[in-house]
Amino acid sequence: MSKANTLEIQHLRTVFHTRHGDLAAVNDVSLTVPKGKIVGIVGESGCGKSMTAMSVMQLIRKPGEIVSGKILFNGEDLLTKTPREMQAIRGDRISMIFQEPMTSLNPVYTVGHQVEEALRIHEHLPKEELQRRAIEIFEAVGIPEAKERLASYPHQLSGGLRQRVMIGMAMICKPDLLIADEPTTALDVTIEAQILALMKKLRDENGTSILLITHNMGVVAKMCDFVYVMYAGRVMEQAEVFELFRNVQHPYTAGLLQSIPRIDHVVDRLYAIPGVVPNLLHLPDGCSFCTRCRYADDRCFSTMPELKEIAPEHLIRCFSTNSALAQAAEQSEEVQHA
Amino acid sequence: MKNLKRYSPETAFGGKNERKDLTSSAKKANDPDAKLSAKDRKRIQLAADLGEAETGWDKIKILCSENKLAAISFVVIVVIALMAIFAPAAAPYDPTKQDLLHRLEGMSPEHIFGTDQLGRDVFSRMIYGARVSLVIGLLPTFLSLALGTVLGLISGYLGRTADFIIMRLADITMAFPSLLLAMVVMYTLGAGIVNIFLALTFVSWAGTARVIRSQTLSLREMEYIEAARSMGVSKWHIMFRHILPNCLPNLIVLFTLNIPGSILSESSLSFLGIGAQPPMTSWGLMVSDGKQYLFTNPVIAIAPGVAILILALAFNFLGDGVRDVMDPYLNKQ
Amino acid sequence: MTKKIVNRVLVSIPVLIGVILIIYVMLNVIPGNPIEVMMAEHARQDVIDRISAYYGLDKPVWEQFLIYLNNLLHGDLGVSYKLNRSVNSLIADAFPYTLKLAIAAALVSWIIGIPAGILSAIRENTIVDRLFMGFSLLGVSMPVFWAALIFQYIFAYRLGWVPVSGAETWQSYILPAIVLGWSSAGTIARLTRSNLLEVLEEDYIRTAWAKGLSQAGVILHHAFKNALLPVITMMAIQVASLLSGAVITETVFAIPGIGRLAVDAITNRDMPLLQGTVIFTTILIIAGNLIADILYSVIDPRIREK
Repeated sequence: MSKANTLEIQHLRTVFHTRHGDLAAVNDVSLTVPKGKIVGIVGESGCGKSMTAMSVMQLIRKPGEIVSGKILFNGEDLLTKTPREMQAIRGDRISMIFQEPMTSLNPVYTVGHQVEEALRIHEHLPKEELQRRAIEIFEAVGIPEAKERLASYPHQLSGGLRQRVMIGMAMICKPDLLIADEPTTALDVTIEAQILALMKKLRDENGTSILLITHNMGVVAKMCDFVYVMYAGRVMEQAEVFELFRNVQHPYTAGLLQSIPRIDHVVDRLYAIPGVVPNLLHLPDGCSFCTRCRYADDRCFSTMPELKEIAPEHLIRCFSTNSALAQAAEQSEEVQHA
Repeated sequence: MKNLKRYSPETAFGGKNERKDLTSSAKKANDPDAKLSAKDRKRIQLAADLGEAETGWDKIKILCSENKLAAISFVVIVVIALMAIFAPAAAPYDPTKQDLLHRLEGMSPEHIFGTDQLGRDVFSRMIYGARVSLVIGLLPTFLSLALGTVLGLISGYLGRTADFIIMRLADITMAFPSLLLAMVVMYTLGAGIVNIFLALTFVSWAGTARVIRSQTLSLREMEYIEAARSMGVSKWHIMFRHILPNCLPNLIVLFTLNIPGSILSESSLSFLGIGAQPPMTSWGLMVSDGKQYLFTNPVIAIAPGVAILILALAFNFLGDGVRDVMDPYLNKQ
Repeated sequence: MTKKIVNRVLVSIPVLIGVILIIYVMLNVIPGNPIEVMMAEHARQDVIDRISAYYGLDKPVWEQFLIYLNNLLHGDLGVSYKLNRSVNSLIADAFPYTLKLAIAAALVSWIIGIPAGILSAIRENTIVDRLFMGFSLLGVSMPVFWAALIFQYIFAYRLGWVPVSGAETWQSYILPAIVLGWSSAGTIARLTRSNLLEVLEEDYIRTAWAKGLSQAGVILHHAFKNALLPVITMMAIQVASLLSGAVITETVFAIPGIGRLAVDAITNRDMPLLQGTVIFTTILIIAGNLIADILYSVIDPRIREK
């Protein structure tokens, strides 16, 4: 692999052992985060996107387990690291921020303490230096009155400020990779825009690669260079972001895009993909999306399609393409009408 | 799933509306992204399994396989209860028959737990003593639960003065060390089995009242209670017909978990000589009688104590099991 | 913060008055003259009358109560019928024994209960967990008096490691402290375990892992402080159960503490002594709850501010 990739996941499979059998939360997922790029994973809740991130961090808890695959970080396979080596990497070279800034900070310690702790674990620095760096990072993430804020408890800060604290905590060791798991889902739209802009700014300044997990196609369009669409533990479509939006080819991605409210279209009702994400224990035999796909035919119910390249760097997991299917469907409707 | 059809709203939910809740909660249990603890997952799955069970027998089978200790405990309790009920048939000897020639004998095939200071068969006396322990385990627990429930409902639903008075009384009752309070009640009323009922009821209603009060407070804000109120349904009807049934899962859990405490309190009072009085036998009293002979013939003090331990332990295990089963219902509210 | 503490203290005053009132009413509604009951048939009527007057029993009940309350305000718990000594001095003699026993038992229950709870939570559903939880349930289900007898039989009588009973040496406290501490240790272990398990599911624990903290760091620094909050409240309630349990432990091990005093008072139908010991113990418990509440708000910044 080339050193240009910060993260390269190869055929990762993470399963949960349950009473009713193993369920694959992450199933044969391969993805690449090039250095300095923002790569998105999108999908509905339960599609395995968070589990992919937690697998990278190796924070999968029982009964979950990574069963196969490789996670290459700067060329080294993280799955061969000892727990102690992983500890040194977490928070230092790879950090992570989470969806709920409200609950992701420990309520009984000041935010200053928590941010300094992130630095103290990985670098042995005198107390004054720790504090100086904490103030520095607070200023970098746009927290006003940085010095005074160090003594605040999380419940004294607004959601936006807390997420800035989280980002500061994640960035204080200048990691190579930042994993952001739905970083703005719990925030207001205006705060969301600010936080996204902040992440982009930090990427530009430090060259940090970002793996951004979201269910929001709008966030993807704004932030990402490359996108992976996941469904029921598998990658369904992957493409460079402009290519994806210009040339959607998987029926699932098409459905996701259709369900975004658009300001320039007046619709009676927002589109929603029919049905719910299937229970991972009772996946259909064929394509996991077949039960909700409006174009699914017999082959879809019996065989899982492989990822195939339909344009440069644009892969989809479908026997056909959305445009071909839509066209065919239109024709058959016309035939019926005629 | 072989019979998976193409998507339609009907097949997705199995066609039945009441199934919807359970299937989706089972799904939640198997969704690795959902924020759930392993325990929650287990419970949700259990609730879903129970919902899918066809007959009551299936449900019992599921519950027993889920918590074997609770199942065993239940069997132990039933066996003790049967022995207590059919004590005359189960006991090898008359528990009051003295045999001064065979006093303080150790374990033997004739007397498996030996004989006491008057030559009475310890095992037979234990079987009769089970009656006291079981009745005391169940009755005051039930009475205090009933008292606590009524007061908790009144306190939570009527509020104002009633709430103030009841809750201050609860504060005061909870401030006492329960055994000392029970001792004071026994001092006032005099020793005896009925007075133990009163003492233990008096000591333990407050906890229940607090739990039921807080549940009532949240239930009374529910839409369907508001609706009933706006339709002119009477206060008492709302309290006992609408709110009380919703407190039932909680009450069942409280009931099973409070039983061991009652059993232990009775045995303590009897041990101190202010509980059950001779000629009535109680396990606590038997330990007390046997303690003088502890170093010469320990079995007559130890055996009844083991019985108390087993019964209390069984109710504790059962209570834990019941709570685990009830928890999904408790959390739903 | 100070305001909160003052408020909390003020709230406990009515509870205290209620406790005194209830105890007084319960112990004084018994029909008949307590002196008569105590002396049975042996005494002449004029002697009974004279003694009754000495104890103020000839006055109306409400006046007796006011006198009692007034004395109580001055820290006077009255005079024992049986021993003809002030209840204050009897309690002052007995209390050090009970205090020593309670502290020793509390230490046993924390030293065993908290680590057992932590270990069980970390090793959830393993043999270690089951073993600890089994032991704690055993402690909770075990009649204290029976455990005391078993311990006496094994460790004092059979093995001769410690004295059978009494309170002369520190060794005499070992068995009573373990017996009394065990059941509290069970409660504390179960509570610590369940709280810790709950806290370990919190988002900020995930954050702590993601920072690169070690397991020890996550549990001891981030989880334990949060999990400990309810345990502190438990410890205050535990004071009550220790004092209750002390009644029995002291009886079995012949320790001349408050519990023994209460049991003797009941046996001798010594009303002022019983009243004094119960009120004294209850005041201790109310104070314990008060301290726990204050401690709680000192540790938790969210409450500290309100």
